[in-house]
Amino acid sequence: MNNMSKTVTGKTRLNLVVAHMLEARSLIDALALQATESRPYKLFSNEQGLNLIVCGNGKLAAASATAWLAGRQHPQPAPAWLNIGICGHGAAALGSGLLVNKISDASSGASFYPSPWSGDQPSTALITVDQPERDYPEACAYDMEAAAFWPLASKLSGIDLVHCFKIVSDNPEHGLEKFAEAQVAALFDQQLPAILKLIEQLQNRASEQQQLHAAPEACEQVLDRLHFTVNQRLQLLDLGRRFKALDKLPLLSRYCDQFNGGAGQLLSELRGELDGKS
Amino acid sequence: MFSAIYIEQALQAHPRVREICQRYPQVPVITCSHYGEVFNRKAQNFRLQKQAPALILAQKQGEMVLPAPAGYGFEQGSGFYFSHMLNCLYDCRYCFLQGMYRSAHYVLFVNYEDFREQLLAHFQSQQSASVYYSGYDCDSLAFEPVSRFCDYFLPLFAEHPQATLELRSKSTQVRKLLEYEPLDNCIVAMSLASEASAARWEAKVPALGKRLDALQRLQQAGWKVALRFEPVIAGDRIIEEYQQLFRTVFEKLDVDALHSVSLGEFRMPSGFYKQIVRLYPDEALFAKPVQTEQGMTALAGGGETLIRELESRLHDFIQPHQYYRCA
Ligand code: SF4
Repeated sequence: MNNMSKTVTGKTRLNLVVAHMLEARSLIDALALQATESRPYKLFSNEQGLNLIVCGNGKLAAASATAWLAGRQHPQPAPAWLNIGICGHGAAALGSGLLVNKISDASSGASFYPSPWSGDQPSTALITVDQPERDYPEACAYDMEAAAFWPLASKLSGIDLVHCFKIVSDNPEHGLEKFAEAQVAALFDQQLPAILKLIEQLQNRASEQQQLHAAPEACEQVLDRLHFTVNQRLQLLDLGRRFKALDKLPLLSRYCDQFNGGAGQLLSELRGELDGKS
Repeated sequence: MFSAIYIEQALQAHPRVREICQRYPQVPVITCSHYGEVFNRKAQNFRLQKQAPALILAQKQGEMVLPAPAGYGFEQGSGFYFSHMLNCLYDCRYCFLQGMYRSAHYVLFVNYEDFREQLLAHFQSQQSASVYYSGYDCDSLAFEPVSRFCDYFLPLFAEHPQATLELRSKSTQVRKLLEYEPLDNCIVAMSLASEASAARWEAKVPALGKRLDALQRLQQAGWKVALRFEPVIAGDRIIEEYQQLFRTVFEKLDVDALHSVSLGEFRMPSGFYKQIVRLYPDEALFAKPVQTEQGMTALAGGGETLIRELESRLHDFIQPHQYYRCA
């Protein structure tokens, strides 16, 4: 990871949602994730902000696990979410790793559009079905979770930080009947470099967003020390943003550190500094 | 060039759509029912999308020719605009489109024939000569190699000399225009800012020198050229910077042949401004003091005094009748 990500990704969250423990195994090893919960879901985490939840098969399971995980985490401005799993595909070769660019829910007819990715990772449309698809009627991917995961996670985090990555495990030439669970680990191992790159890029994006919106330290400290109304807090944060954008953080600290008056007076002094009036 | 091409399902067989897709065989094609499903969604991040914008090929419905905002153009009152495109290849930090749209993807409305029909009806309904602006929601010329806008719309305006077309742009894409005989009722209006402003806030926009070369070629070929000095962004050395810009520009171009010249301050609806601040909290431009009046936000420290000062410098180079002020 680059230097910037090293300094910030420690706190930037990326949640991986995986249907089955077989799919999770390679990721748990590669990302050095430790088990943190076993019920109601298996949850694995590491110090770099990565969490992996094993949700189980199907839309309901994916939605419930996504909601459960979000509910137990402290709110963060821009956590990233990634659903990874195997899929059937009407046209792509076995073992292909594909980002999803359109998700259709076979039962409701609803469609969702994850944002196109800037890299060179190939992408596919995907249909989420309620039962495993054996006939592959269209030249797209088939899974059982994405249509529930994506709309929910994108509400929690924003559209541009939520993606699905699928590895083709069966297709018209190698149908589901030929698929053996023992192949999953090999499919994942083969796609690990692409997955790790995607995780890194997605986490970097999320941490850039997080850094952009982080309040200056001086604001956080003075908020702890003095009483601010909700409105005054928002004003302080906006003034803090302006000091930061103007490269005047040391000056902001000088105002905040020793200040012992009321919140209104501090706001007025900060505003006076930036706008030339108090 | 594009991270993906979205196509409205009903347009899959449209010749313009097929032609564009053929030119980008490597770009994934994604179908949707209506472009709004992608473009108008909530919770999109314009800034992130600007890193990898997609092209959306759509069909424009409803009213396509709309009254231009007051003070937008030189006609001072009876101008109209039509938008065959939403969003822009360039990435000017001050651009109001960032606050107006939820998505940074480019929308190209390919049903030019419907634009043509509505424009024709509009031409006929006008009592007097009227002006039609292209470039309100996009840069008119920058996308020319994809849109082929000129090929379709220049001949239309050529047949209707009572209707004037203004193409507002920051682009050097004038090759297509130069293939045509100049139209008396078409004006190429170049938006220009001081070199310091451009370097700071106009990412991806061609350099001033290249744009002036393009304008010079247009003038030499007989095209009408106009200059839009906007948005003027107040700053410490603004007068010197614009004085220098005026010198550079008017040394290069045939001043007497200029159709019109305007100045306009940096200002935009307050709602757009707030949205842009949310996208770019780290941008120093949006940390400057502002003033908001009647729903419009402008930088404090600019205003009437600054514009008057610049107008007076500008009038050292041009004739009064060539000038108007953008609202
Ligand atoms: S050239 Fe115009 S439309 Fe394009 S980004 Fe710049 S200001 Fe916006």
